[in-house]
Amino acid sequence: MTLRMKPIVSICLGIAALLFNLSCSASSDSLRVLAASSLTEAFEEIANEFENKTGNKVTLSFAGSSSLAVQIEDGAPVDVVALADEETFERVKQSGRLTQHDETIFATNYLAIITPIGNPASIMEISDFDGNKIALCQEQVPCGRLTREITSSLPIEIQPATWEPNVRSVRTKVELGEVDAGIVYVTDVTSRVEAIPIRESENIRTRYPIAIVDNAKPSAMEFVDFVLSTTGQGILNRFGFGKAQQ
Amino acid sequence: MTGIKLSGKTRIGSEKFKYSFETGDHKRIAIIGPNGSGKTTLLRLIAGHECLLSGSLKIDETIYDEPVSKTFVSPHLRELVLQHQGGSVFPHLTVEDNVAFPYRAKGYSKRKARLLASETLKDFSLWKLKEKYPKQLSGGQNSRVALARSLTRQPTLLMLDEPTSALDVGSVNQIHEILQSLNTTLMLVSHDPVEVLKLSDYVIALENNKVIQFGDLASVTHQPASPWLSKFFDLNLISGVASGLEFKSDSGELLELPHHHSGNVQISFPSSAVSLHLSPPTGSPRNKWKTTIAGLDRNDNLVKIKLSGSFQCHAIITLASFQEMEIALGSPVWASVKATELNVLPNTIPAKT
Amino acid sequence: MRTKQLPAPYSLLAIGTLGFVLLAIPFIGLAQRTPWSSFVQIAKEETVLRSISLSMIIATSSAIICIILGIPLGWILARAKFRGLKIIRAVILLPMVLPPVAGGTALLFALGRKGFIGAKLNSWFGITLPFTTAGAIIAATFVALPFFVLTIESSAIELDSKLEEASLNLGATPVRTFFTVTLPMLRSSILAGIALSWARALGEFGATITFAGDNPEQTRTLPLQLFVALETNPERAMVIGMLMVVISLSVLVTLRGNWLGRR
Repeated sequence: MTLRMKPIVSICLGIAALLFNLSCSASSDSLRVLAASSLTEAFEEIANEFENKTGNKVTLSFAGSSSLAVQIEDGAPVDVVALADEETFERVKQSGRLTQHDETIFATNYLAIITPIGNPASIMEISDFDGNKIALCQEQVPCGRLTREITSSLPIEIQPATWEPNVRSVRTKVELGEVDAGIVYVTDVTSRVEAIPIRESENIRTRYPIAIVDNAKPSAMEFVDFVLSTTGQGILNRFGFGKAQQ
Repeated sequence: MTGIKLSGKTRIGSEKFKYSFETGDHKRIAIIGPNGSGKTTLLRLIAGHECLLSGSLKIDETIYDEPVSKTFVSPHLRELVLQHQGGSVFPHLTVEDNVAFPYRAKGYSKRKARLLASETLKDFSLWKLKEKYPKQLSGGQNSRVALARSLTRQPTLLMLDEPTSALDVGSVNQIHEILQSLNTTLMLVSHDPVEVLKLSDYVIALENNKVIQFGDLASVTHQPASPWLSKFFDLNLISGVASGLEFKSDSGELLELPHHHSGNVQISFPSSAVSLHLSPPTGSPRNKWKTTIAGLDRNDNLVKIKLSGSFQCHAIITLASFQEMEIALGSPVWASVKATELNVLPNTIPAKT
Repeated sequence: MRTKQLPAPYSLLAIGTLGFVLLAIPFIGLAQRTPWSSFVQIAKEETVLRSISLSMIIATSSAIICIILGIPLGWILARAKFRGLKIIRAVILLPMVLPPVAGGTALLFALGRKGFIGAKLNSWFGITLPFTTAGAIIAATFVALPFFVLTIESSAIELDSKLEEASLNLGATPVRTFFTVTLPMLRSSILAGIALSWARALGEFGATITFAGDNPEQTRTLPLQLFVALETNPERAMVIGMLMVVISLSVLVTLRGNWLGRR
């Protein structure tokens, strides 16, 4: 009887060990930062500089801000969160996982229209969207909310061909030429698309908050300070973000 | 029907096959041979499931398969039926629909096909079973279904691969009766010598994927071309040395040969050629030897007797003769066989006598 | 249908039970947290109803395409005997191994507006596939077809070719043989394949959102609806999740229960 049970017992132990291993987070000594998709390149460089300067390792994770909010609400292990609008920040505050710091605004951004290279549908402004294939951010992500704010004041009704879950997906669809235009942050513009500025009078500026989550590592404070420092702000400016004070 | 003329080679995987024979106007052909000798492949070749690589296959002067002229008639266009071992009755159709299948294949509606099949169903005593599915029937009943179905195709040639190999004696006899009453040309693969003797008048013998002998039943049984064939028709095989007309068996017994031979030989003679006597026989048989009855096997009106002594052999006599002689196991008898009945083969394989 | 009671060794029963529990627990959790009071109200919302109908149309259309393409493919894979077969088989099964998003991306590059086939479709016929229901059907079929083919292939291999040969001998043309002998023999695996591919198509997310995008009128299937709801309104998400479970269960049970029970 015992002999026959041996393989079963060892298999069960193996499975248990595997499950246990997976539930423990990997490399638990690096700083975990969740950031909005639009911050991808900027924060990658910031994290690099931070690691070089202080020797602290940083693990970055990017997604649409509302996805990040869900992750935090669900108890994901994180030290610092950087979001793309204040409304999402309010939601995260309600989860009760932030320490008692007021929100710190570290950057600002505003929207732009992008089209595939060559602007095949000759889009010059938002009212030209009518009759063409458009990609917009889903309304629960900051970019989508902002777009909604802008377009609601316009007389036309936009019917996008697709609502993408984050701002980068919108950009990809435009890059690939699958749609004639999309609305993304000005900081998302690359050489692979053409950018058409939205009139100052129609455009709205959005503010990016950053905060430390409860039970964060001591280096979290250092990281936030670094983002707000001249070096950090310089990097953000280079990528097109507006200054925090505006 | 002018018969089947096959002369050609083919290859399946890494095995090579070479066939060459004619059947003339014979209507009852048996294909025999040890396991793996190419019997099934032969049937499949004639049916069109395998094709020749060289040579040609003609049935009644129509070329069915000839690589060199790129002729090949598809299986469904050949007016013959190959009934696989086991019958291959369709499990998802009732008995009635199975038997009606060839009519449906011709294009008849379901109703018409069933109507046309009803005669056959009655002939084969399947009418009461027509709503049943094959898995509800016995082996014997399924064999009848397979046969009935094959016949509704009205083939000019019906090929059967061991049709009775898994059946009980009653079913075997039933099938044999049906087969004997048929008008179609029959080509039968069989492992049972009695079946071959009962049903066929022409034999094609295979060994090692080649035809080693073909001809009338009589000629093949009396002059088998190989030890296996010899054994198949239950002939007796004795090995020894021949010098001139004299044969000396390995065990020392002397026999007279019909022709001059020399060297190591095997002689064979049918069990039916052996006569038994209670006292040393006189008369023309010059080959006689003393023996003891070592075994008895009764089959219908015949008794097969195993004789032991200087060499082992079998004799077959009628039941009446057996009873008249009042012999039993252990009785001493004299056995004799005419020299003219002896067949001499050069010795290739030592006989197991 | 008569069920045979096999005496199973206890260790097998124990492991089997564990496996079943592992699968059942998430659904029990979902059912427990679903706000049943608002279930009907949310389910009746126009957007949800539209998603339900889209999902059903797309999944069913995919299943039908899978049947038409998958049966011949599966049968050929089982019976063919030529050299390149292993590679062809691997390509057919590729969508099963790839993450659906990768599949969707590949579809985009081939059939998108600028894709090497999609561009021609657009310029010759004015047809674009992304962001349309047709595109969603293609995405779902792409991921579901390998499952169907695999199911058919494994059954066709076991099929006794003697039956097909017998049919030919009895005068049935190869086409008739396929429909009257081969297909009926494959029936139970065809049904299993339908169930499998329909279910897979219904739950498809990654390839759909990448290739067909999220278009409320044409491509917002239940999984996509669920994804959006998860970030905005968890209650809604649970209701939609439960809806999917209910729909799937009823279809799967009907498919496998009714049609296999006979004989």
